[in-house]
Amino acid sequence: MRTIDFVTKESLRRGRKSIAGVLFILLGIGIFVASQTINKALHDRTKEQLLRFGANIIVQPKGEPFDLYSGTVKGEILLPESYVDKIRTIEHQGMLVAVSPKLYERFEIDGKALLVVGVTPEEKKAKPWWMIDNEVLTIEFPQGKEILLGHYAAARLGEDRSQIVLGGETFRVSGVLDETGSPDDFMAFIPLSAMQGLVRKTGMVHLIEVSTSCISCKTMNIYGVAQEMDEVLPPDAQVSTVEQIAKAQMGTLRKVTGLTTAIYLMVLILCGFLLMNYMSSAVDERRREIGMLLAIGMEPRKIQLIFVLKVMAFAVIGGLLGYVMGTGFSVLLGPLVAEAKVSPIISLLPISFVIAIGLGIACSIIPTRRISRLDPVEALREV
Amino acid sequence: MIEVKEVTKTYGDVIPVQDANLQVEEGEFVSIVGPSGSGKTTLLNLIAGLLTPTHGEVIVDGVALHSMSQRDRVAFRRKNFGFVFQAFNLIPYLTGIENVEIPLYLAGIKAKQQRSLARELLEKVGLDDKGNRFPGQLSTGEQQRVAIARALANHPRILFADEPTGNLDRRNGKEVMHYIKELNEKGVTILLVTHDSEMADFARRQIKLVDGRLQR
Repeated sequence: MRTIDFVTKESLRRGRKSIAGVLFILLGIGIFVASQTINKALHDRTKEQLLRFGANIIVQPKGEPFDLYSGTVKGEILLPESYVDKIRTIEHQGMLVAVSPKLYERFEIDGKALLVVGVTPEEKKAKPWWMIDNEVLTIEFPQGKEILLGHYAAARLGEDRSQIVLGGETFRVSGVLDETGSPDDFMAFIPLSAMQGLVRKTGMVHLIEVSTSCISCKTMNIYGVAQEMDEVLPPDAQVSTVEQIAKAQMGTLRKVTGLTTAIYLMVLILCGFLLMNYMSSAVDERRREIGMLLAIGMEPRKIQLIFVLKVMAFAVIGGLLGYVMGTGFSVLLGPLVAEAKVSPIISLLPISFVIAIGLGIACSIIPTRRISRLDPVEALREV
Repeated sequence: MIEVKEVTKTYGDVIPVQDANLQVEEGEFVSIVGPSGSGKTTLLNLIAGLLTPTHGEVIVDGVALHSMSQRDRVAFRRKNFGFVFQAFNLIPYLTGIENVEIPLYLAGIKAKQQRSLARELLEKVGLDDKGNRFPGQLSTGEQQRVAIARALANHPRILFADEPTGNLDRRNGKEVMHYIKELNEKGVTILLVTHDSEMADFARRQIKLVDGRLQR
């Protein structure tokens, strides 16, 4: 006999009850792993989705207010297009997803107003969610004398248009974008150079929209990137973060994290209570055995150790199975919940063990303390 | 030698043992008899150090048992006492041989040596071929013999037997008593509690307990 034999033999002989003990830990850890894994997927997906709000930094002429609703600037002051190159010289240029210069002009088409935007291919990078007929844009965008219509802009003008005349020049309709839920739905897009030629503002733009890849990274956030851009651009350019968007982005992420953490903590507390109840029942059920062991000279501390070792074994098995099941559940069902690809997080495995063992020990303190107060005669007589 | 000096045990208004005085010499076989509820088991538990007397003291080999710390008393029991209970109190998830190994494990003997010693002990009680069975797979007589083998594992100087034949039929009961008598002949002091006069006759001395008081 060894101390561990009291644990393994008892657990194996009382298989069903042991499984119940493991299940409580498995449940707690499984939900922890699932919540964390799906949480990360939600973060990633939310970041990706929020990026679709558009650029998160706007470079505009100083004093020209940017209208978030329409996504344009008011007024006639312009910036040189060459500022795009200057922006690309910042220290953290790797964080720049797209630097998209824009020149706007309002045209009348058969008595209907149409806001046309001159853009470069960078616009496509900034808006990877743009689709035509439910498929991601594969065409080179836009080039030569082509025009790409927003969903509602096309509807207003008539879906069957194959070409549109702007300022006397004819542009072939290269496609109609699917609905995006953004101001883009009401706009049309032509190459920036074509727009500059149409409005005779060669080399000039109304604003430059910048999309960054990291909204709230620890090392550098959008405010830091905006600061760097401000430093490399001349004073006539005003760099501002789209604060409302940024706040919404961060607020949403915080809410998602908070909610999943709250759910997880509630489940963990519940599992803790179940485990504590399980351990209390185990001490009660084994009173006679404990009484006999005390009578023949086993020290209460050694008996307590048997119970602690048992809960530790449950914790290791429950922690491992909980990780496997939580990850499996997330990977299989996560895409339905998070609508995004869910990947396993290996670093959660050691964390699962630490939580499981901590939970096990915490929940066995009160039940095992009763052992030291147990009177062997009472324990033997009672059953 | 065991000396019981004016020992009283009370539970509120209930007095299961009152002013008990008793002396048991080394190597004696004493049975404590009396009707059910007369306080026999309480007296045995007081002498074995499992209960603390309300008044009086129990001295074993010159050592006052209840003046020791709980830890020391546990160690003293482990080294000197063996117990046989009416309900056997075998651990159900351990085999017979593993149950016998428990006192050996508590004495710090290595696992391999425990196994061979436990086998020898089971052989002594005629169960060498049933050591790998769980208690539930043994008859009541066999279970009590395993319990006796367990009680002998630490070579106790004093064996406390509380109604060891209470759950056995006459034949098995007598067989168990023969084992106990054999032990006594080998020098082990035996304190037996029984309400069965036939079993009590195995002892060399009988003490009667009525309403918590020892009768001379």
